[in-house]
Amino acid sequence: MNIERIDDPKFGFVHLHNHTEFSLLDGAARIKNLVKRAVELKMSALAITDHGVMYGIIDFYKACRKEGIKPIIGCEVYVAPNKRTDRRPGKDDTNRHLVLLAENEQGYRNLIRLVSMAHTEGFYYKPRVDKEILREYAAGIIALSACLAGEVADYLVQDQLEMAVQSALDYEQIFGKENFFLEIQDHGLEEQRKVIAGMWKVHERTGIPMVATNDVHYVNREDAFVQDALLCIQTGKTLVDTARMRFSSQEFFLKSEHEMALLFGEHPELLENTGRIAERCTVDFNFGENLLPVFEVPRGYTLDGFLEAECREAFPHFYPQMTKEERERLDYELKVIFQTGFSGYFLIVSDFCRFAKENGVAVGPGRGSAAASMVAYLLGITSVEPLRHDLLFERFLNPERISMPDIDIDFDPEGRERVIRYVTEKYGADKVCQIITFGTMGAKAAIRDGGRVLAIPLARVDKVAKAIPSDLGMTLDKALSVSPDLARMVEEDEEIKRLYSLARSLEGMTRHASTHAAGIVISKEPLMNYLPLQRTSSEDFVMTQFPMKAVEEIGLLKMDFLGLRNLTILQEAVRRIEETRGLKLDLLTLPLDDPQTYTLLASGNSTGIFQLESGGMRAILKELKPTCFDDIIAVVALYRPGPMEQIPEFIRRKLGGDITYLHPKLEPILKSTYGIIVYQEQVMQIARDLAGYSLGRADLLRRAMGKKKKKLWKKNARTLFRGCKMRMENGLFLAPFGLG
Amino acid sequence: MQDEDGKWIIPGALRLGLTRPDAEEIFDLMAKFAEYGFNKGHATAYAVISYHTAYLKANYPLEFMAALLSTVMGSSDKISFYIQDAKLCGIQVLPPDVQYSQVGFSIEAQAIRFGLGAIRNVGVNVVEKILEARKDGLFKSLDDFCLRVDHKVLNRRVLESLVRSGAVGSFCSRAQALAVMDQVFDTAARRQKDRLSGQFSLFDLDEEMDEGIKLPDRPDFPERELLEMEKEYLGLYLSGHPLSAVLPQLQSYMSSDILTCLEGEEERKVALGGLVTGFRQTVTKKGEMMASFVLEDLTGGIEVLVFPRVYAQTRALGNDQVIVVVGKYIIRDEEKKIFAEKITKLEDLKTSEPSVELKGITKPQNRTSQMAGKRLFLRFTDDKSDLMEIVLSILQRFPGSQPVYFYFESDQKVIEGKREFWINDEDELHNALLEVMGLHNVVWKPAKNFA
Repeated sequence: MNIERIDDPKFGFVHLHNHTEFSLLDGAARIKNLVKRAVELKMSALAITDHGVMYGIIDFYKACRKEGIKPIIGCEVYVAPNKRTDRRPGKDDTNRHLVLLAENEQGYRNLIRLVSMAHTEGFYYKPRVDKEILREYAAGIIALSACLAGEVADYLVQDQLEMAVQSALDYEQIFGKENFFLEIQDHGLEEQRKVIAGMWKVHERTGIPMVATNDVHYVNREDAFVQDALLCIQTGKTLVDTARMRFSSQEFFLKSEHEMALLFGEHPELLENTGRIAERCTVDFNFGENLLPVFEVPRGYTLDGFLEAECREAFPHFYPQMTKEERERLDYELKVIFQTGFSGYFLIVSDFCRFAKENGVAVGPGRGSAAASMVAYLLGITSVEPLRHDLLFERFLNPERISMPDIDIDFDPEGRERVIRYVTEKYGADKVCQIITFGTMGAKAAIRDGGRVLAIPLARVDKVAKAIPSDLGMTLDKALSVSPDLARMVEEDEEIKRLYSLARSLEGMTRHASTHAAGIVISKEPLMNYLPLQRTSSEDFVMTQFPMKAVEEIGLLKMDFLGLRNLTILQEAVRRIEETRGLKLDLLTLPLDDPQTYTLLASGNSTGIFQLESGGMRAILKELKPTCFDDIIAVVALYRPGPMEQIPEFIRRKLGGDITYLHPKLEPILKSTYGIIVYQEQVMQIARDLAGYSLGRADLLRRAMGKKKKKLWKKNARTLFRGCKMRMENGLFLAPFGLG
Repeated sequence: MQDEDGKWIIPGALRLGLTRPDAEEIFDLMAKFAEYGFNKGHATAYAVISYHTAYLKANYPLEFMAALLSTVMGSSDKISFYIQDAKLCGIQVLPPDVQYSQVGFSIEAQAIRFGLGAIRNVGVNVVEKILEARKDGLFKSLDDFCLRVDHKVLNRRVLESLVRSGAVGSFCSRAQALAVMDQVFDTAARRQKDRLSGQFSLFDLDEEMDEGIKLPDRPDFPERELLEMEKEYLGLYLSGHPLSAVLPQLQSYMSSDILTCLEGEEERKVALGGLVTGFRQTVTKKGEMMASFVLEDLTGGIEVLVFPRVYAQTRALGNDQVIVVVGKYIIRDEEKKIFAEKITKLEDLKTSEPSVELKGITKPQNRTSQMAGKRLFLRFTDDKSDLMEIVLSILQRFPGSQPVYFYFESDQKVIEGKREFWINDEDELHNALLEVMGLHNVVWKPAKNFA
């Protein structure tokens, strides 16, 4: 056979029909590996077309860009036989496949709209579009007729040439000339012979161009086995079951141009056309945009202006002294917030916190670094006064590293629903949704699922699974090195060895999708303008098809609405106190130095008390005998593996042990914690006071140290010490022994 | 210039008066705590919640405990745990009673009243009907109760649950109630039906005749059985605990209670006391007998495995016995168990000394005071590498959580020893080090140079 060199000046052959691991339990190609392989094969572009979903397109996009090849964004959708809203058993349960590729930005937006509607309106066993909406949102989309399950191919399998021709013309009409292509594949399957022959006839009759694809489901031929295992997991069968869904060949891997040419070389245009399509498709993502929802402010105000007005109005209530320090802090915070352009964010959060409080929903005093913000305090987002506790604004919003602030709010679990409903009503149901989260196959799950499909007796599989330590982040490789039991079993038993090998291929694969418990997105325009959506598992709400990180990268506002049970306890107690004594307590006005409270803690009677309930904590409180609020903060901050080791020293010093400071400037910073460094803020203050760092740079230093970023660390060390040198007076001499 | 750890040693740092150990120490501390340091904002905000909770518990314990209990209604373990705590605070928790209870936990005078909704088989709709009926006044008797509460919700099963859980205790004892229950129920059912269909009964016309079914004169169930019924229908022991009587005796033989033990994440030797429940004997593959059971005390339960060797040395073991188990606390696959090494029955404890059982077992509560100790400084005057080896091996014989520092005099350099060399302050350690290094080169200091 004479194999012509495919001669496309720009792109060569491009795989346009590919399934990643995000075709859950059907695709076995991890995005990174797929992209890397395409690069190895010297391909200049690659498409992603998962079944009915677009979960992985951001990851895919980034991976392609990183490797320098062009990403083509697409999806293989299901087309309903009638209307997408028809759900009649027996009539509407078949569906056909169709590959859609985004040619440009409009095409991308249309594509996410189609995919979203398929989920929210057309779901019946699968998310389905229909020809009506395909017609409406066809602009900017290039469609391929898909695999054997595509409409045209299906008619050809049934020897209905006329219907096939009609169908092809139909699709061409929907998408426009040059925007619809007939697709053929050759995996050696019987029906494909028929389809290929028939497709040529359709092509002759209609003039619609043709492309060849490979319906890729895994990266290399050897991975066919893993993909088969995934299918078994999905359908609940074992590999030895004969009556099950399976791919009848091992050819569904990312073939090289040469391998494709072996199949289709007689008609070079089949391969060239893929390159031409790839050339046409260009979709670029704009990360780091600001897509904050619109918050309406009164006439005459800008967002910044209104934020400032609200703060200044509240200021005298919270800071009746209005000292210079307090005023300067407010000015500074406002300045930085205006710089970041996120005034709207604060107003949005402040608004729903206000709603919550006015409607009997308990709002937590704050969480994360938001407690450091005076603006948040003035707006009622937090109830912690930052100056008194030395909370540094830069820890929350760093002027040296501008990014969207991260404010998460705790509510009482029952009330949380009501706040979400409020936000949904206020900003519009088409602008508020939850966020998807993916569960991946862990080490044990991989063993268990693998064992099941290999039909290994449950008891044996169980033994292997139990030999894997339950530590977080445990991998099969790690387990093999730390668990002698596991190593022995794998070593000595062929069957277990095979299981382990299969499990390693399954490990880390995305396995299922569920709803993130706390994440909420509030968008500027209808969500479908930005990303694909689907129903939540409980079906009562909508969620993004992009996971948290991708949602944030696109620039959408995401917040965590958390439910904290302890807030219910406080609410209940306050309610009962009013009932039995007629006393209306406002927790926020409670003095922080109530002696009864400290006596209680010192007695070790901390059952039912948030964060202080455990036996270990109780023992610590009994020994420490806290006398001030700062003690409670410190003990909570220290009670973690690692810093815990400091606790005995902390106790010793509080109870009167001697404390010396390496330098007098350290004293005001570390006094409240008896000379021990407990907080990140203290690290930042040390950098500022002993080395002249600005707090913004100090925060960067802290991050670098925290992440052990050696280079950044070294660079800072120089400056730090230079700074120290300049500021030290005749330094202290320190002999650790104090001996003669 | 850097050493292997990537520590930056500034040439000339010494020149301007900032000594190398000084600067290094500050920088090291910063590096260490940058990694471990906590976000004070979050700590402060969350400490506020802790404080508020503690404040309410300290100043309004009654209302607080009632609120606390009502939020854990779904878990009898937690309810049980918090009730124990309430008792410690001097708050009585009264058993459910159809006369006085609400659906959930309620406050009654200075006590907390258990809700009817917590009784097995009794749903919220039943309780609501009871409360509705009660609006007309307290129930006069078991008959009155059965008559006034709608039989749509009050069926035989519900009634039996109320009786066995003790909720009709204000009318009569459980034994009496069970004896007449069917009769009372049937009579009341008939009368309700009649009323609905508009018929009168003689009893309605003449109140004097309506004395109700006569209660038999019989003693109530023994306490043990009453407690078991409570456990079955409330999910916990409320009015007492099979262990309470003997608890003081057990205390001195235990290293901790079961709940505290379960909080530990490290495997170690423990001594626990409690009640045997769910006792099972099995035969191992080798044909030997072994046993397993759940040991329960007032704070919780834990599974105990008694392997053949130990089981053979244990005299007849069975349910409801009070015992002390000395053994190893094991965590396998997230399941926590005890592998028993020695089991002693309560009666036999008196003949053995507590110290025997507890020798070598670290009581968790004391660990912090053990750790609040000194730092060890070791001075090395010249470059004797084999001395270091010897010293390290000595250190490793006494592992603990007290830091060790190595001072190299020639370099004027202090290095903090790696965690694996940290020690537990013991005489034997001190003596061994003295012998090897000499008196002036081994110094114990209180931790001083953190800042």
